[in-house]
Amino acid sequence: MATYHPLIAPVPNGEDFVFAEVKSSKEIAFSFDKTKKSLKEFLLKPEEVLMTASFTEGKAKPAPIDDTMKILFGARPCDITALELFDQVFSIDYDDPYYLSHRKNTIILGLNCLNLCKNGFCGITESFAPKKGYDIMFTELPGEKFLVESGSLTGEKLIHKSMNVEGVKEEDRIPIIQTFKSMNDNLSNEKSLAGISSIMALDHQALWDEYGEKCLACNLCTSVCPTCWCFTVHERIAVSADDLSDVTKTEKYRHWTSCLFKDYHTVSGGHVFNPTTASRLEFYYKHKFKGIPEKFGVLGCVGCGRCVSACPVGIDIRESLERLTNVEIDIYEPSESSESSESSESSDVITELRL
Amino acid sequence: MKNKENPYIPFDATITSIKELNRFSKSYRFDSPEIRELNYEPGQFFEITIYGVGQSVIGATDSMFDEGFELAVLNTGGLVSSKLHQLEVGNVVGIRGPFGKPFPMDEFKGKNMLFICAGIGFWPVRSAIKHVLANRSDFGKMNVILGVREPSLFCYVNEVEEWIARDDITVQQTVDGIPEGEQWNGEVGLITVLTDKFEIDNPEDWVVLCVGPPVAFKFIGMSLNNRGFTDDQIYVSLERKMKCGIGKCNNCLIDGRVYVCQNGAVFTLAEVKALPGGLD
Repeated sequence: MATYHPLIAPVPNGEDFVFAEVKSSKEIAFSFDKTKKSLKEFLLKPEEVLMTASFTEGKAKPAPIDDTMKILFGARPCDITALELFDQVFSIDYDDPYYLSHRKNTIILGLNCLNLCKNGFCGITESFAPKKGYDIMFTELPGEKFLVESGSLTGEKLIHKSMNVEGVKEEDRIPIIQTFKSMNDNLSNEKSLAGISSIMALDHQALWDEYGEKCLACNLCTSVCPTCWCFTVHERIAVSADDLSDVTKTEKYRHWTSCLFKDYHTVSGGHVFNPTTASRLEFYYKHKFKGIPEKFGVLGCVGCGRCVSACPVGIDIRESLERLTNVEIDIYEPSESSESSESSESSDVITELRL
Repeated sequence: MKNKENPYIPFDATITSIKELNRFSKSYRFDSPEIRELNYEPGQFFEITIYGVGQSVIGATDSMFDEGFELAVLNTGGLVSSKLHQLEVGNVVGIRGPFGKPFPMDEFKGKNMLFICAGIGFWPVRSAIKHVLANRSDFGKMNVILGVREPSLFCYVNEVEEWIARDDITVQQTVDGIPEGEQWNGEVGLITVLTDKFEIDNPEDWVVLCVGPPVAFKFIGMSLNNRGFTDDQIYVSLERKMKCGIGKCNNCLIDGRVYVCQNGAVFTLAEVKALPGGLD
């Protein structure tokens, strides 16, 4: 008997696209630049209860973790590259059972980008062709076809079971090679952020001060960022709607926060370690381009450009990186025609892979 | 080694005694089966959860050689510390830990020990002092310098008097000032009035453990440098906003790259000075 797993995929949302659970493949947007937010919310929940306990007696128990197997379609290479970082963060030294459970129970179906997206600069950050982190990768080929490759045993099994997937034929060879050649031509970049960690150690106070004047510390950039994972942990009384008078149950929960918030740097007694917006921006950039590479061996930025799209005051990470490194970052504005088109055949494959 | 258990879940501990240290601070002893199995070292810290209220990170105040596990808490007016001050013997709290890098007490064997305790910085240093006292023959000379804002804020007064009575430990104390109505016949001035006068022949035989507000480290460091100590000989413990204690949440990061909860909280002054913002 077939088991259907919930399918999360990009759907239109006003002028943007967001990941949402879909009931039919017709709801899926195949022609999407990238989703407004990254996929991190499905793996590191914006808020998650870690444990429950009694107010007076303790007896803490880990909160049950939703371990429903889900399929997430439409993960862009930048988002998958970001998972390489998250997978390390949540398993180094101590396993984080919540993230790891969501990760294990989310089948990642990636969708390669054939062109640079709006505000994207993944060529510079070398995050357009992840080597791992996905279960299946889809690449759109000419003639309303998709190349479907497994990146894990789970993916292998799904492809093997699928009726709509057939073996690569001899006549597919050239189109496949040409598609990747074109993808490489469109996305790769001879420029890089080599030396960025060393450059971050220099004094850039004038730059931080300038951005600090503009920045609203609104947290939009950090919340859409696929590589930001700062969270804070709190306790609360867990009141059940069934019995509002019962205040004996408590919860420890965590939620996303942002290093741009003053509160993030404030300790008991009121001292603030990074009191100005400029100092918090410096912290943000140093973490991404020095701290994360030092600890995890990867950049804390995958060049998705979501922060550029989200910033209400026009702070552009490409501009700041250009000013820091003196490496010019090309700005690409996609035209309508460069986007992939919806394919009925691809819909069938996605629907079937829910099996 | 990786902890296979859920690292966010505290164990329960019952408050067995509460002592008033001064008008702002209390010390708590706890007991539970897990506490009896605890293995911790001076300089390490714990995360205490008041179920339904909040959690806070607190350095160990006693040593493994004591009769019980003790934490001291200043009521800052914050949610957790003020609620802790309302708790009574028999109440249950949650405890996680120990976390962080301890003072490397084994490396200090054979050295003369200078302990500098500014304000509530005394509490985590007390853990190391008690460690040395319990293993007294492993260490050389032992000096303790205590400084508080005003005389009524001295803590563990009876214990300090016992130390003063010993001939193998020298204790010096100072207060920043004497408010009206308080008595004090000792030294008056910032803690550096004592470090400035610290007499040593051979600085290389000494190790300094110093805890206090990071801003004080600048001045204490300068004073000790003038006495011949290098920053590598001076060990400090930093405070930051630690939330998870296990290097995941990023709240305690300094300069976007150093986790106080994992890379510290014990650092040498040389390490802290090399970190932009380390002495903030």
